[in-house]
Amino acid sequence: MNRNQGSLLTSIYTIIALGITMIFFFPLWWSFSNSLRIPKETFTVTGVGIPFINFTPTLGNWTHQLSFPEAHIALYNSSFIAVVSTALAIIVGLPAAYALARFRFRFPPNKDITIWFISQRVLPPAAAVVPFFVLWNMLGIYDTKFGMIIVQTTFIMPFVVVIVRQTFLDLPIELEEAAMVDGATHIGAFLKVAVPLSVPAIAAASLIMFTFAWNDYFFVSVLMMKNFTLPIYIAGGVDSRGVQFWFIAVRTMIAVILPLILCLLAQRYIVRGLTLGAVKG
Amino acid sequence: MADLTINNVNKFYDKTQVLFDVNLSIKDGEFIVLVGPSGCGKSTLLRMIAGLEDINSGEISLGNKVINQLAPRDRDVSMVFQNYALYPHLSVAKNIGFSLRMRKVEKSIIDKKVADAAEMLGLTHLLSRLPRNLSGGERQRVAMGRAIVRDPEVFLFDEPLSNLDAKLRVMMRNQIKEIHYEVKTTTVYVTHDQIEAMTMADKIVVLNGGIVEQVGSPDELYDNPSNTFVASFIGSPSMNQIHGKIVSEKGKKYFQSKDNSLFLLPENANISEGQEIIYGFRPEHVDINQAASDDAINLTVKVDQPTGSQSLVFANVGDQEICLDVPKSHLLKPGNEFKMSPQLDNIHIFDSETGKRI
Repeated sequence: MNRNQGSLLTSIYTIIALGITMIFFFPLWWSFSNSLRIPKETFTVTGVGIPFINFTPTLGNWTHQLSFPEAHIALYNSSFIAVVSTALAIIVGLPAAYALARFRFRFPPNKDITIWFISQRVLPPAAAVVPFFVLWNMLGIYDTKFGMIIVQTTFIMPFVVVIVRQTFLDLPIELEEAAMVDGATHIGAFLKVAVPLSVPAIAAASLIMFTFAWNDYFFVSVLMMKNFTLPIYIAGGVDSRGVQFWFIAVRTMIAVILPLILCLLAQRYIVRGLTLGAVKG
Repeated sequence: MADLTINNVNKFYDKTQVLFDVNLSIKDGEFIVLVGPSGCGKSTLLRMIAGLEDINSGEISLGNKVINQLAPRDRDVSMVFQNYALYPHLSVAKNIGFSLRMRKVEKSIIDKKVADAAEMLGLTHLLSRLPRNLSGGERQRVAMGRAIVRDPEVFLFDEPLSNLDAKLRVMMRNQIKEIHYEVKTTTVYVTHDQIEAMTMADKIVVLNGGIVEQVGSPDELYDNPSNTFVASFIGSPSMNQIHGKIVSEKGKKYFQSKDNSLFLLPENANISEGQEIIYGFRPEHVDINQAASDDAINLTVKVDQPTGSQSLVFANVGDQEICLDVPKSHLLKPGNEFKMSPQLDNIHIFDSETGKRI
């Protein structure tokens, strides 16, 4: 293949990729566009809804929504629960992942423990929610952020265990052995060598876990009342007067901003080749 | 500074035994090389000294202290791994200083020791680089720096040169020896390369199938191999070993090979007529043509491999191929006949049943 053909192919691929991206990006764009319209125009504007061309944009919906405390409560609760759950899942999950990668358990064997972790993800949430409800009432943590953090952590931790376990398995064990001979404890070798080298995987897993906790609607709808989060807040845009697209659009945008920022930040850490040069290769 | 003693050490992986009653005593400051074919247990033994493998029975002690149960970090040994195992997220300086930081040494002292080690290994200009930006030889030197910076009781090397190209290997061999002369730390060095063992060791330990075959200085192993395994493992090309039996003729003892060639034996040899033996001589310990003795045998050159001033000549005694390391000559070309007699002083006789030296 000569160079011209190559660049032609690249352009074709780029156009196809852009097209596909547009299709998936459109609902998000529509939300953004809707959030800038007056209520009437959310029904009437045609075309792709470009501000200034198809309609005159206004920040009215935004100022209206942000002036009510519900938006702040939802944003705060969602952020707090998602961030703390993710951090907790990492703190608990990393040692589990390491143990599964580096130690051999007789009973139950490593494979079974790993499957058990994954099974927490496979389990339909509906099967777990009633026991949680009863238990949380008994423990007095129903409708608390603390209770919600425990639930979310339980359900997102398998991600970090499974993803980072594989990364630990791929790390040359000599690095940790060298650290131990050099004077580190086994925990020291884990913290100073294995964990820093797994940062890309940990960042990727964190992003996935954060998104799951952030997006959860089901558990919050059952296990919380006054302490609602963003998904519940968005759903609250439907009331007896019908679907208030203009408010829902604003709420959706609020819910998108934080994950977007995190995604951009995490991108820096999700790099390949961190272990380059460790061993001969 | 202390002696390292290994006492009746056994090692099992599940039910497979990989080390059998290993006994070694290594004096302070000695350079010991563990050598043997792959899978002979040499790396396992080294890792047991480091504390990276459990000891199933027996004792390893450093000085007067049994270190069996000590964690690797409490043993005061440092190790250079075959694949270097540099910390890829740390700069060269941080890699070298890692062990000192782990031991909470003061920062100014760490900086000084790292600088000294880097100076010794010629790494000073690379201190701020990451391992990924280093060549193979430089990485190897960083791995060495990490080991020497701490001034431990024992250095452990696990085939440190096997990933380098031939030229660099010779250079590094010298450098390791130089460092040993300088710091005089007890060193245990594992290799499968007998040339590395011969050139570097004060004392060589030949391991085979988890059993110590022989311990001795390079000269001892070369001159007096205790069995056929050591005889063929040490020295390159390997010692020629011919199967046959003892016969007497005209009052002299001869070795008779399967094809009835006769080789003169030294008179003082402790053997009796009819005994089945293995007759060994090194390729370099032969005389040919004019230099050969009256009892020389006639051979035909099969292949010749010139190596410079010398030439490796291959010929058959019966169906057994032998190799001779002789001065290069235009007479030694394939198909030519020549006379050859092994030098009487350098003949090795082994029992054909046990392979042990007689």
